Amino acid sequence: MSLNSKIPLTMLKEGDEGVVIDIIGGRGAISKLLALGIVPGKKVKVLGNRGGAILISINGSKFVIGRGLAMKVIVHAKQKN
Amino acid sequence: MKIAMVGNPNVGKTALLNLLTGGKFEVGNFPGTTVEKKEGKTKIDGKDVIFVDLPGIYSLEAYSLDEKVAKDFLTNENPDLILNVVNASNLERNLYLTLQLVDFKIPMILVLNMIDEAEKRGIKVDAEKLSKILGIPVVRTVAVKGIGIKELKREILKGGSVPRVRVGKDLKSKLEMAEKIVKEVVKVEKKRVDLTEVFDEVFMDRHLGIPIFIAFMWMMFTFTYTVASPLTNLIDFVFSTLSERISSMNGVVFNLIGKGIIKGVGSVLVFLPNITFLFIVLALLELSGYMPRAVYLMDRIMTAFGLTGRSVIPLIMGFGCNVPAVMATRTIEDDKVRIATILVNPFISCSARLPIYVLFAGIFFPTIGSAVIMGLYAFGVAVALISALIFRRVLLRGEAEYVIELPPYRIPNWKNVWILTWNRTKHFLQKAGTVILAMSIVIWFLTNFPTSSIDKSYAGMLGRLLQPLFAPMGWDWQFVLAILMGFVAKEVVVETLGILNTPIAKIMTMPQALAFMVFSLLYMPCLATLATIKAETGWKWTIFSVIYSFVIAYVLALTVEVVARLI
Ligand SMILES: Nc1nc2c(ncn2[C@@H]2O[C@H](COP(=O)(O)OP(=O)(O)O)[C@@H](O)[C@H]2O)c(=O)[nH]1
Ligand SMILES: [Mg+2]
Repeated sequence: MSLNSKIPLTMLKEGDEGVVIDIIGGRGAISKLLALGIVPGKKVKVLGNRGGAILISINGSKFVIGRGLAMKVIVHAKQKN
Repeated sequence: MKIAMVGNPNVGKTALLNLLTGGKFEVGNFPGTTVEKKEGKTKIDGKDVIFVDLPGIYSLEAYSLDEKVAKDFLTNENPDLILNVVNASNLERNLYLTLQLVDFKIPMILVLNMIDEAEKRGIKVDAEKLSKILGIPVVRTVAVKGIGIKELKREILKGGSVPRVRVGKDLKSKLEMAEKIVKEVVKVEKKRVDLTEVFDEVFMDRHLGIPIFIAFMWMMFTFTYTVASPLTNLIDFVFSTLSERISSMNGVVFNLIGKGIIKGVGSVLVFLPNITFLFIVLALLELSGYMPRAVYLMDRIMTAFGLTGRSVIPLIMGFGCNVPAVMATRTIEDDKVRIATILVNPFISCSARLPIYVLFAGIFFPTIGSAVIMGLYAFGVAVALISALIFRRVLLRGEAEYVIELPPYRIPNWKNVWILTWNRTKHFLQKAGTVILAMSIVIWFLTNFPTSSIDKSYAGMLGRLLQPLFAPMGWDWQFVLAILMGFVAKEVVVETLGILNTPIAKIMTMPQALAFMVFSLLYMPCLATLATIKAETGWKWTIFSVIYSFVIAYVLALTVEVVARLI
């Protein structure tokens, strides 16, 4: 995966980090995520990704995001060293 | 003076309201405890004040039901003051809502709550600076310890002030503004070890998470059954003695009181300890912050059945009572998932059905009683999940989206555990004093008139009239009558058998007893649950629920009877 790849949140593995760059989808989905602080520019860490919902930590809060909705969160994957 | 409490879910609005009014409202530790608005009245320095506790919301865009309730209140009911409660350890996100509230031009006070948790996490908020930027009073509080309440009351009497901060109408400029404000007023020192992290390492573990969840559920039921049973026996003894003493006196009235009311109400009250213990465990689960973890852990399994992890909380609450459980589905954004979750909820065995199992399992499975009861609970869950899958495939198709915040773990405070447990137990006692009492008179009347020979009484006639419907299961008419009466409230099943003095062990076989328990588990939501389903979904789904559950109950009870007989 290249440094600049834009991928949906669901493609990050447990322990991966990234930066939110975009939220695609309807107005409802977008405004819901924004209001929760899942906002472009924020660092996000995936704490759990086991096939169902995704568990993330962002801005010091933890969220469970249903898989469908997580597909709409586009992130830059951070290169691991 | 009318004051609206507004804020994100789980920031301590209800806890503050309790402090301010001396009230006993239920707090929780997961988003969506307060799904309706609740009012609390009090006097501050002789001045009448009404507090309105609005559902916790993240924004005022009115996409979901709870956001709509809050927005409608603010626009239509003109509160004199908004108490905007925010979580100090998560200020930026909380400020989005604050900056939306600014648009209403209503006087505000910002309550910076959970200062203690913020400090533990090394987060310091400059309240004075924040107050200057927003142009409203900012009060620092720790609701659970009562810190800051005096000052808050003082500010309330001053009436707050209309925010002077200037911010664009769109969410984007509010987001930017929040970020800017936080940069100015929040300082983060280095973090100490966070207990929540440690707990989550274990409870949310890839391999251990689900086994631990199942272990918790298992503990809930064994605890309920075994710990309560000595108390149950004691109450049983008291009521039977009382009933015999009184009914041995001469006269119809003594007979009504002894063999009708005391016998009937007593047969239900006997289970008070079981039910109380169940509510205590539920309260502990809810207040500790574990519930939303279960959402994540169970999401994959729930998705396989067409629901989402979101449905887990209402389903677990259903073990207590289906009425609040059905109401708790209001936080589910997706309408189809919500309706499916409502329709399957009655299959989750509520505390009112527990007496039936305890009674029959005690007679027919004396050594493995708690295993049988657990099996019935599991059976109910299985029926609920499979039904959900069918509904979602056939009637309620479509994708579902959700997101939910995980609160930190908190040690439940005994007072809140007590409030939750007592409110729910009180409901059970109220039922005993009203519906169940009334039914005891009805049933006593039916069994004693026109003649007191049970076979020729109205009860006998009614039971026999309906018996053919259940002929395949081979139940005696007394059980049929119990089922009929139990539609009002499931406790009445046990009550009816108690008043009829049914010699259960003599007139029923083990397979018939199993089938009877299965049927009682599934056959129909009780009257109160039906009314709630009607209120939440309308007539169409309510009627559907009645027919569907009856058919399922009939088919499965018959199957169980036949299979158990063959084995
Ligand atoms: N540590 C701490 N916990 C709090 C504080 N205020 C409330 N809580 C707890 O936070 C949880 C949520 O409170 P609740 O009043 O139900 O929040 P609401 O959803 O905003 O009404 C409960 O477990 C409270 O006991 C506080 O200032 N400090
Ligand atoms: Mg509340």
